This record gives sequence, C-alpha cells and structure tokens, in this order.
Amino acid sequence: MKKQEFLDRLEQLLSDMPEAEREEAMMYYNDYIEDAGPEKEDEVIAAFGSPEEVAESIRNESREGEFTEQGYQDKKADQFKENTNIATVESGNATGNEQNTYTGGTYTGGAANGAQSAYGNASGTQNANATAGKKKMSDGTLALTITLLVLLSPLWIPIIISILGMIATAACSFVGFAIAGVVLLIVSVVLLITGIVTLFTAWPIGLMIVGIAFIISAIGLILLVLTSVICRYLIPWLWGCLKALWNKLFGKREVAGA
Amino acid sequence: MVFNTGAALLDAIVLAVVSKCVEGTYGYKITQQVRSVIEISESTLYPVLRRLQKESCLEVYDQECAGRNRRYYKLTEQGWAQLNLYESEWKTYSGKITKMFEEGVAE
Repeated sequence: MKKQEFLDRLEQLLSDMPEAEREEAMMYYNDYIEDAGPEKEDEVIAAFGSPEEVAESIRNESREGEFTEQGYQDKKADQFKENTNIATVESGNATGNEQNTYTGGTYTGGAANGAQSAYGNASGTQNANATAGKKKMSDGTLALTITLLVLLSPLWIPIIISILGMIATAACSFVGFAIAGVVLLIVSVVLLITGIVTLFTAWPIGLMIVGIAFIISAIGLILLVLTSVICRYLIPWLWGCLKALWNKLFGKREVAGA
Repeated sequence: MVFNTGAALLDAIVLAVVSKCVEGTYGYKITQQVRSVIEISESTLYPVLRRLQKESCLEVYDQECAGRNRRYYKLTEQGWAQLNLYESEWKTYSGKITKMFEEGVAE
C-alpha cells in the first residue's frame, strides 16, 4: 500500500472522531512515514498493519481508561498466553495472602497509579483475570446483539432497503440534472446558430430565437453549477456520514469480538 | 523476550527515551529507540504518546524541518516527576529480583 493510499484510508476510518483527535493522529502518521524516508516507506507501512488496525489502536486510546498494549500483545498473543500460564501456576504455589499484601499494601500506598499496573502485569494474574472477565462479558453482549439483530430483522431490513432506495433515487436525479444541463446547453447553442441565421431573413423572429437560446443556456448553466456543487460538497459529506454510520454499527462489534 | 512489558513500564521507557533529548524528539525516532530495547510494532507508540500528552507528562510543539512541520515531544515538569518515580520504582523492583536470583530469598 502506498503512503497516500494508507493515509487516505486512515483518515476515512477516523472520520467520525473529533476533528482535533483525527488531525493529531494524521499528523503523527504522516510525520512518521516522512521520517522513515522514501526507501523505507513501504516497509514501515507494511509494519503498521492494516489501516483498520491502526485506526482501532488510535480509537482505543481515546476511549478513556481502556488502554491495553494492543500493538504487541496481538502480535505475541501466543507468548502472552504462555506467560500468563506460567504466572498462574506460580501464583497457585504461592500463598494467596502474601500476594495480596504485595500488590495492595506496598505499591498502591507508595506509588502513583501507573506503578500498580506494572506490578499487576508483572505478577500476571491480575492481568489474566481481567482479560478473562472482559472476554466473557463481551461474548455475552455479542450473542445478545446477534439475537436482537435477527429478531428485529423484519424491522431493519426494510429500513435499509428504503435507505438504499433513497440513495439510488438521489443518484438518479443527480445524473438527470447533469444530463439535462448538458442537453439544454447543446439546444441553446443550436438555437443561437438558428437565430443568427434567421436574423438575416426575418430579424424579429431571429431576435426572439436568440433570446430563447440565451434563456435556455442560463437554465442549463444553473443545472450544471448545481451538479458541480453536489459533486464537490454533498457527495463527500454523505459519504462521510455513511462511513461514520458503518463504523458505529460494525466497527465496535469487531472490537467486542476481538 | 519472555517477559511482558506492562503499560507502566512502557510509559517509563518512552519517558526515558524522550527525556534524553532536551530539545525534544519526534515519533519515528522515539519508536526506533524504544524498539532497540523492547519489541514493539511500528504503530504501538501513537496511543501511548497521545495518552502521556493528555496526562500532561509530555508536551508537543511543531517545528519546521526540511520544508515541513514536524511534531516534537518533550517532557513536562510532571513528566520528569513521573519518570523519577518510575526510575526509583524500577531500581527497587529489579534490584529485588536480581538479588533474589543471586542470593535467594532471606529466610
């Protein structure tokens, strides 16, 4: 994937985020690729993973308090599992009491919030328990969501179909606008020529035809301007809305499933 | 590496790396330097840097470099305090572990 392609896709995926957050992230990744230099560009982009993954990591941070070490925990999932297994075995041997005083007493009292999680991770168990709990919950939510989706399908399928219909209608009328504009312009040119020719034989009729040609060309121009406005602003805006909607509906579900 | 790097340790490493450049340093460089110590992917650090920035441990500024603006990260006073805390905690923690490996646990 090329640099611009990657950045464009990322920006699209972040389109529902607050603008400041999005710009911050876009600046970082743009800087990053530029700093890597042209010869390392492809390598770095490949190492980022898909734009979807990158977008997810950015999103995870901006939801307060849900930070995990996404990037490398995913990659080394197997090793992570192995580690937690060892840790669980170890904690099984150790007496429960000792561990409680270790995490609870010394470190929560003495250090800032950050330190606690470091020891939580080091002991492994706290982390593993938390992950297991979270997984169970999200599985339940997922099942519920799917059930609801299926049960409510008579409701949402027609809604989606009608939305698609509306989009199709809008697209057709938009194309119609453009075609009408072009046709009107052509007609006005033909009329203009006819009118000028007629001027020599019967000047009042010629004048009238030229006038009509001008009016028609004005209408055609208005239609074309309207089309270009739709092209430039309305369609990207609609596209952004659709993307945001899609992300809201399906983006989050992926997270819950992951 | 068989040991996990927890969120706090990663924060500590990032703060330490940034602290070595008094003038401030930038995302790509930070990532490469952190990667020379622990294994992280190229996209791991953005969320970490962003969070440290929100917790006002880091401040950012833009400076022109080779015809474009580049974002620089720098430790705030709070960042320095946090780094000192991490450092002393790490010394205690790693010291205990090292001692345990070498001498065993005191009865």
